[in-house]
Amino acid sequence: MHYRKRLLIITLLIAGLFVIGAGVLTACGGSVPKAAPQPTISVAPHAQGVTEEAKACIECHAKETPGIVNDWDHSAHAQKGVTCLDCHQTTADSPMVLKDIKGHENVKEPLSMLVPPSTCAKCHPNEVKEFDASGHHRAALQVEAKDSMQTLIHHHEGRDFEGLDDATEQTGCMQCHGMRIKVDEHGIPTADTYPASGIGNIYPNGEVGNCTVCHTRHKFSIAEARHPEACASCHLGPDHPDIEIYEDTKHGQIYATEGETWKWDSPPGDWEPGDYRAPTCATCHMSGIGDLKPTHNVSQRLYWNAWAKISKPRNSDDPMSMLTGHAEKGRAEMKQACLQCHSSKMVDDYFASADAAVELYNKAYYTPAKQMLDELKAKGLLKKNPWADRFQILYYHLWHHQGRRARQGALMGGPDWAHWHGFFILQQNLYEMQDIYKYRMETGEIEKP
Amino acid sequence: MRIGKTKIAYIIGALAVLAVVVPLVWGGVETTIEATSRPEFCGSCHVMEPMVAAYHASVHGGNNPYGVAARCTDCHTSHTNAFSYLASKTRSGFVDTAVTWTSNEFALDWQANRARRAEYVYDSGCLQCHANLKDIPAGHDAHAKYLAGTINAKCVDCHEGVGHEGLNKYLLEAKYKYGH
Repeated sequence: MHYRKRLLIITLLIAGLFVIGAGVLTACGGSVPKAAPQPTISVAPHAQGVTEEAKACIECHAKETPGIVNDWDHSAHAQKGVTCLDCHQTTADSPMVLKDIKGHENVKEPLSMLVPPSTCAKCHPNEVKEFDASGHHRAALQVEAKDSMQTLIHHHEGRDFEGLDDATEQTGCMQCHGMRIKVDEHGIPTADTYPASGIGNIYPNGEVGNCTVCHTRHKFSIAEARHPEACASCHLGPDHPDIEIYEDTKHGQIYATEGETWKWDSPPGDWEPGDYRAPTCATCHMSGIGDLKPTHNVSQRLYWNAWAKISKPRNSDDPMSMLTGHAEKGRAEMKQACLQCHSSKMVDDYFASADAAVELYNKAYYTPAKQMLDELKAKGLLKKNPWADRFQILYYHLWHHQGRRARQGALMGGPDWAHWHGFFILQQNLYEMQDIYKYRMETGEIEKP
Repeated sequence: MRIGKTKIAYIIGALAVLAVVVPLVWGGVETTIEATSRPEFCGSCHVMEPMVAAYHASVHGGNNPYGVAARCTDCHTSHTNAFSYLASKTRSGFVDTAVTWTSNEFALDWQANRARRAEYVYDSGCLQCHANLKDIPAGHDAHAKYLAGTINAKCVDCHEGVGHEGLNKYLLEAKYKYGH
């Protein structure tokens, strides 16, 4: 054979070997690498990464507490291999560690029924940090610390009734504000401090905060937390009818009409108009709409404190302060959220009238009411029991109920609440208070009921 | 067998040509690979406009105090070995071009594409830079199962928005800008 032909054949053979080799290596390394198949567990078919220990938890609890296992199985945690022990395993020296629990004799790992925020923070550190800087953090601590509230709860409402006087806060206030949870010698929460579904729960190890209020266990659904109902279990009622105000707004009407068609599960920071047609609580107060970064600090985008006796612009970094937040910065961020859908004219005009309503309350209602209260107090013309004194009851309702409705209704665009449940009642209150004040000051006596 | 002078001359000539040609070809291939790896290239199809915008808004796209940025191929091609790299790059190049030419690219369902992001964002890419995952204290527990291989999840199964910050916003903007 001519040497050129031989050279050509050899070259082609070597090239062919290269191609085959490349093909083989490509087939080995080039396609999307598949992990080894994971054993599935029949009672939780969506779960993966289930260790033998976790499998034991799940299989028994599927019989004992099937609701919990079902919820968890539908969670993102289950899909990503976050199992029971990742949250419920604790250290042997934890004040919450469970001891001698029936059915758990073979469990080696120290377990806790309670899951404090530091556990969530192992994977969600930013969210916990932001929460700790917010007004939600102080929800239980603030009630504990206030003497007048403790007197109201135990003496006036609980009637100082031996053994029963905790019932009002256990079934009432603290189910929203949070409980100071105590555990017995087995690590089980005591009957008088549990269930504790409030957002400011205080755990036996001193940690504060309950992540399960808005994205409830064990599904921990971001879609759920973005719905207004997540906030509504607590942000409702005569003294802060926030869900009712929302339902009074066009945002709330649009949500009610077509909210079930919206996309609720976009990644954090990526939930934008288009996914929805109107905002929910989370959209404005927390979500990463537009260029805003998502935050779990619900105080961050607020200008006023709209629940205090008198509303002041927020100016504190201390989560225990009534004014936690930064007014100007917060207002700018809130406007950024509005501007994703609305014109700047609408946004500026809206806040101008809302701010005017707050200032009207401050100056024309609270200030004169407080002045009358102080003058009566100075002359000893207030009853010792504020809850049996018409003037003091009116004063309380003026700031704590209709005063809040007027302010929050104005700030969140709920006109019925701002007016009929707010300013209309405020003006009637003020007239009545002025009558009582006049009588007491002129006669030097407290009127008979 | 004696090799003639002519043959030796030919061999030396061939080697000399190779010494010039091989570096030129190699350099040319490397340059082409480089040039087709950057956002300027990948973003030249305007269907990619939202992705490029979201990339620039992301810490991985330079929006960080150090100006460090990953290129498209750092995440969107396999980095297991050189062959897997070239194969995945070639495949995506062909597929993307074919789709652009044969279909209405604005009719593509990007949310459905985002849902299957683990198919085109390679862990081997992430791990090129984030090689010390096991040593960092933050996320240590979160990554333990991933590193132990007991879960099927890919990096982007949990880190959904990485690399393209606020993508939904830019997708919506593009939708209205181009009237589709």
